[in-house]
Amino acid sequence: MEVVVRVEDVSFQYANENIYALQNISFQVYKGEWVTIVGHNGSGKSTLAKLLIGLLPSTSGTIHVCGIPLNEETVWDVRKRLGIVFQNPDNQFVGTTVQDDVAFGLENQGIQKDEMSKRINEALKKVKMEDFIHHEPHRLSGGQKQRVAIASAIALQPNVIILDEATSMLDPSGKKEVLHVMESLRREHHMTVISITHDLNEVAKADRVLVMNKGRIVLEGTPAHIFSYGSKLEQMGLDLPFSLQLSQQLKQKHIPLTMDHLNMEGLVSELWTLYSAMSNTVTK
Amino acid sequence: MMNSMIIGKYVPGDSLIHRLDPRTKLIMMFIYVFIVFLANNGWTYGLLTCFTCALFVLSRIPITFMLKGLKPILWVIVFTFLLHVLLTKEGHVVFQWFGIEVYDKGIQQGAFISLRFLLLIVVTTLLTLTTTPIEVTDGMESLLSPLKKWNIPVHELALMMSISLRFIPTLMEETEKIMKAQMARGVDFSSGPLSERMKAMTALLVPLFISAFKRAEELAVAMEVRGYRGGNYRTKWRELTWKRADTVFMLLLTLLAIALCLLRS
Repeated sequence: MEVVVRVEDVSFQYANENIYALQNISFQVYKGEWVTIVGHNGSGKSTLAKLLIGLLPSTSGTIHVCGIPLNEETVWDVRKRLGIVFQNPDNQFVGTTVQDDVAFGLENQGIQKDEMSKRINEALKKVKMEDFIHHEPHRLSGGQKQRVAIASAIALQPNVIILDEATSMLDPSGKKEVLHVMESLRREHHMTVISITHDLNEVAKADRVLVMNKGRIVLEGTPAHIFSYGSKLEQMGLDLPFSLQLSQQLKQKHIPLTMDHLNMEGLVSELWTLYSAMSNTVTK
Repeated sequence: MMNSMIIGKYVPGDSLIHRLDPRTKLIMMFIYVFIVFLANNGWTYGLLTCFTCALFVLSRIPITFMLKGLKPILWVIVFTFLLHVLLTKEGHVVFQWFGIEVYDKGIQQGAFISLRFLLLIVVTTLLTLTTTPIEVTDGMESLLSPLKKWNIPVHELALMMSISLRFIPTLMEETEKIMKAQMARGVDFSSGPLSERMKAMTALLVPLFISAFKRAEELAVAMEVRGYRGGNYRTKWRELTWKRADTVFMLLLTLLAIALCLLRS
């Protein structure tokens, strides 16, 4: 499979600090994959995002994006291949209206007007914001602003989209909107996604999960594999999804559940099958 | 409430005046401000008034919006009128009242000066009522672009202006939020002596500034990762197009200026 992002043995130390914010980080992201990097505040995950887009230079180690080594000369080239959505919906909205904001990145790349208008419409359609093309940012909700930010990123046709805590400032419905849009992008357009979050609820959607703690990658695997560590994750300051917590506590009460439940639907369906089976035996 | 104060000035519409190129409107306003001073008799003032009224009618702005815009300066107009009436001592005495003599020239002069004032305000208000701030910015950028030759950062200034416009509602919202938060903590912004109120303002301004700087930094990062490297190779999404209507309006204004020169005494 094609490697899109390759991080090799990267370490990073902030000036004036003697501990390393990142230590010997190595991982690869393949084309079409959804990788979630999860970690508690201060685990180094945001520093990693800054390194990936070349806002900070790594102290040692190398980063390749689509085969291009990231350094001072190639930083603009690399950024063309990455789209990033940040945490604060307001502070990344550059334009005065939705269309201006999507156009901003295109203008920077010197794209001609016809092509621009085509790409703006396409991108807004993909995030289902085409009805808001003339809206000013203060008339949009947080979730809508983040969807525009996603549109602004995909209009530039990047190879990878990085979500840097993109849902952490949103209300539950905004979160749902944004994740829904990302899922459809990935399903229909095979987008490669690196999602950085502290919310384990978002982890269930990933193909692969990297857990960071104190500047290192401590666990790596599928969501189910990661969640099997249960209490170890909690020790690292991460909150397990509610469905998983509930199913674990039910098991402690000797309710014969068979699986670890990463989402509500699975837990609910096992509970009701169990319940109807139990009531059947009682009536018999 | 605060939003409507600044942003709400623009009245959306699709009239002839709305659709004019912002450059045309800016140039016309600039020239108008000068030619208003050519008028010095009944004919010329009449012509100017007709022209201005025609512009206003073409803009299809409800008269209430215009009146709202005029309200704050109404007393200035009245004041100039009275000043001229009372201080001009030329021509015949029209009437006397408690030893104050009012001359006919005074009334005429007062009427002309306040009319000139009124016309200037109407035309400038018309510009802000029919043009969005961002169009004004684009127009300015385009008109000032020759200055780039002398290393004046026209593009950067225009971008700064459009970003400030975009952040006005955001910062207004934030101001309101901080005010409420501080009021909940017992800060009193609205009563007490002036010095006390000024002191209370620090509780508002310090957090507001801190957050504005933080926003600026994050915005700069967001712009950079979307490939912003200054104005050199950029294309523009909002292109200004000079249409026939623009040429027609410029010609009309030139005719007006010529007519004023011929008719003035």
